[in-house]
Amino acid sequence: MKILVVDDDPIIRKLLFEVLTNDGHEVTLGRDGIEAVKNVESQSFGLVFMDVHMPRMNGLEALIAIRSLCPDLAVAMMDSYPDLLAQQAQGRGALTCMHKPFDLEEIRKIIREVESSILKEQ
Amino acid sequence: MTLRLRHLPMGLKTKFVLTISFLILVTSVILSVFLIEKQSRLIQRELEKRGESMARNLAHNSEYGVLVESEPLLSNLMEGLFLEEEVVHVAISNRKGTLLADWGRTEEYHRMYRERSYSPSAGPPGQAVLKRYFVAHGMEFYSFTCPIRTTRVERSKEEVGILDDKKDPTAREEIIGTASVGLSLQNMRSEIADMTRIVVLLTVLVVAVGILLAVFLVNIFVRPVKRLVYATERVASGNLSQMVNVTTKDEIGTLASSFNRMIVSLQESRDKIEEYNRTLERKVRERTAELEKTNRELESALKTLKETQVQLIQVEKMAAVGQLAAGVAHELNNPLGGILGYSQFALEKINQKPFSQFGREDTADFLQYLRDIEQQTKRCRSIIQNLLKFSRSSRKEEFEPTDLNQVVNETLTFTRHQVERSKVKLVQNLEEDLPLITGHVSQLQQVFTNLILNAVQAMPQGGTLTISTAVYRDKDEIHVSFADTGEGIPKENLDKIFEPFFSTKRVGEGTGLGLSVSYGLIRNHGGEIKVTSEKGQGSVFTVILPVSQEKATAESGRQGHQVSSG
Repeated sequence: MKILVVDDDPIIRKLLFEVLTNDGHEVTLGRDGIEAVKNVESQSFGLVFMDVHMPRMNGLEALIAIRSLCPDLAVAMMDSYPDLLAQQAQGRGALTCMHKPFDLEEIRKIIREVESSILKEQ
Repeated sequence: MTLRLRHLPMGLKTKFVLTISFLILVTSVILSVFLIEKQSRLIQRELEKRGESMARNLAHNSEYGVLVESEPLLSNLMEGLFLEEEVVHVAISNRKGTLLADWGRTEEYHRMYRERSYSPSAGPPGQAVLKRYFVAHGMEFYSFTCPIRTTRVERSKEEVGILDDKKDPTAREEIIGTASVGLSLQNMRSEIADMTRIVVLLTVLVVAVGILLAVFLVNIFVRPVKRLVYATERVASGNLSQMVNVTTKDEIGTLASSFNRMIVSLQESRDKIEEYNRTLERKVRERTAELEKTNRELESALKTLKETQVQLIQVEKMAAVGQLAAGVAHELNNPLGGILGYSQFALEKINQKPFSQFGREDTADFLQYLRDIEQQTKRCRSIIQNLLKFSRSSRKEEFEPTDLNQVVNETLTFTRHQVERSKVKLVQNLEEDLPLITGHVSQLQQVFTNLILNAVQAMPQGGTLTISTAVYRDKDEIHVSFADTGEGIPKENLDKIFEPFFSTKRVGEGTGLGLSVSYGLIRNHGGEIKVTSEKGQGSVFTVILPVSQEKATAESGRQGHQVSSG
């Protein structure tokens, strides 16, 4: 699956890139909300992992933009607990909210859910 | 009633007694003198009358004897007079002055008379008796001389004795001689003397009795006055208990009853005053007790207030710390994510392929995972260290020479992340060689943190935060300003923002205490915070602090150089 990973912290990007690529997905990286929207515009993804707190454009704003671009695109927000912004994101149509630091299994669980729902649609 | 009064030498009693005595004396003396005088004259007059009468009678009776010049006749007539004790001589002379008959009680009288014979030729008409005063040999006497008269008528012998001579128109009075009687004044004198003595004695008696009476009466009259005086002395010495017992119906009585009324009214006044006094004392006690109670309440309120203030500062600090902690927690989650992720990834790798089958690439990957883990762990450490720096520095509670630039930089080390991830650009204009101020480092850090975070929150869309430090030498001030490019603060809120609990944020987002606590902390440093703002353009918060008066250098500043708290 084509997955977009957006986080301002390089180690998160690096980790997710390695793990997801190892799992067999095609991973694109973004550093902030603006890059996230650009990527969504230019490519089609199956899932987006997006951090909430980012410079220039945060996750919530990016989510709103992405939603208007691709209403069906699954977006999983990542944040530190507790976070009001993340709760708001949920209300805006985020698939789920992951609290950092997360287990790798949580990531994979979300991916499996998205894959199975895509299959269902098909 | 015993009157224990000091004796007044010129007191009422003395005055009255002296006056009355004087009056009595004077009157008595005058009266007695008058009396004596009168009596004397009376006695004298009596004597004169007697003398005159004797002389007259003798003259009258001697008419025949003189006419016939019969000495025995005349002597006979005179005899009667010798019996009178006071008669000292009698003499009858004829017209020519020849003694027809004379008698004297003593030889001296004889002589005396003879030496001064009376010539009857020039004599007063009528019944006038001549009185003459003689003093001889220490004896006084009067001599009364009366002319002897006869009536010559032109008539025959036969008519003599039958017809009344006096009715005869041819009657002519003629003086034929004199009769004189001498009366000793001795009797008179002694009578006068006796009388005088009696009168004087009487006077003395009267005066004495009068004085005694006066003393007695004055005593009686003055007694009420003395009682009054005594009473006033009692009152003067503070004793209002007894009244004056004087009930005479005169002015003293009136005075006494007025005095008694006065005492009563005085006593009432005194009682009233004492009453007021007691009331006053009671009120003062009550009021004092109230005041003490209020004082205690105020003291305890003050204590509570101070404690609350300390707590609030702590709360703010904790909130700041909390905010930082939230930021730091945020911070930690990423490296922890890396550590957890790579640890799990490495474990998965081992599960898939045991170590023994590791190729070079696998080993290299594995080592990289470990290095990443190590790196992220170090990152965690430094984040935590920064946080501890903030809380550790707050344990230093003293005021010391402080370099504000250093404080700004330290504050930025743990707020920089939050600033930058909020898309806020940070600009620093720190003046070099800033003079030191006497400051409390952790408090200043707290204030600067508060202002920085406020600025960041004012720019949710991002913007620029400019932190500047500058010294104003003419005013001995250092200005640290935090300028944002946010929405600005409405004019009507500008002076409210430093009020406690004033907040434009929603419930749950911030306590509203930050600025008020910061304001208080800066006031504690002897400075103030000023704010200017333009709607739509941003706000500038300027912290103004006085330059330290101590001549400490920047290097020694941070080594705990003790300064008396300013």
